[in-house]
Amino acid sequence: MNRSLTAAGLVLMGFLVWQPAAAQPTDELLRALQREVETLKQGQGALQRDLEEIKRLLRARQVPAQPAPDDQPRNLRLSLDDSPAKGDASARLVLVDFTDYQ
Amino acid sequence: MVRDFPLESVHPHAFKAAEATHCAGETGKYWGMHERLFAHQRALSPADLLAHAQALGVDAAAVAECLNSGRHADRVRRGIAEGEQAGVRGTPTFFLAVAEPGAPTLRVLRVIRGAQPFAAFKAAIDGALAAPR
Repeated sequence: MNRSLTAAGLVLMGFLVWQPAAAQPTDELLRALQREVETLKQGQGALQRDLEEIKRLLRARQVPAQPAPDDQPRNLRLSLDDSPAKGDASARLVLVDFTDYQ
Repeated sequence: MVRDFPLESVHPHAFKAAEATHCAGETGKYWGMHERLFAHQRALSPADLLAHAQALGVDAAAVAECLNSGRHADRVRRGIAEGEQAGVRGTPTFFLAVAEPGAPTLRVLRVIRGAQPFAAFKAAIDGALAAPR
């Protein structure tokens, strides 16, 4: 009983002695923290720049809106009839316009 | 090449308007009527159609007779049927196609849906011309 009380007292004393040291950090500790904050800030700046670069690259990759490849017809044929047409009647390429007036 | 695809369910005058372009075509005024109806999309009642024909110098009575006869309705219906089969969902829908030698058919290379900028057509046509035959 006596021994455990002494041990508790020693622990308590140790705590009281140690605490002021933690509450009042030395100049060295402050400088170390400052350096750490600076390092973190620099790291964040670098990340920001990387993000901007990634955004810029993504924007550059954007191409004009095109129908999705799977929207394109496969093996589709249309009749070549006497529909009104402009241009060379023997042209290889024909643009067929399905239209509506209203 | 123009195919009629009147959206009858939402555009009650569209079918007769398409017929009217072919009626005007009987006297060589198809393209004039085509352009005029595009420019007056809110004035396509039966009376309007006759007025548009008259404005182009087409005899209104002849157009009235033509519309009443419905003799170009089949052509319009063929456009609708072919468009539906080809997956046309709205207008305008353009198909860039290549003529097949010795057959009255066109093989579709690309579809361009909606009123897209010139660049979209140019890209499709340039791509088709560059592709091996």
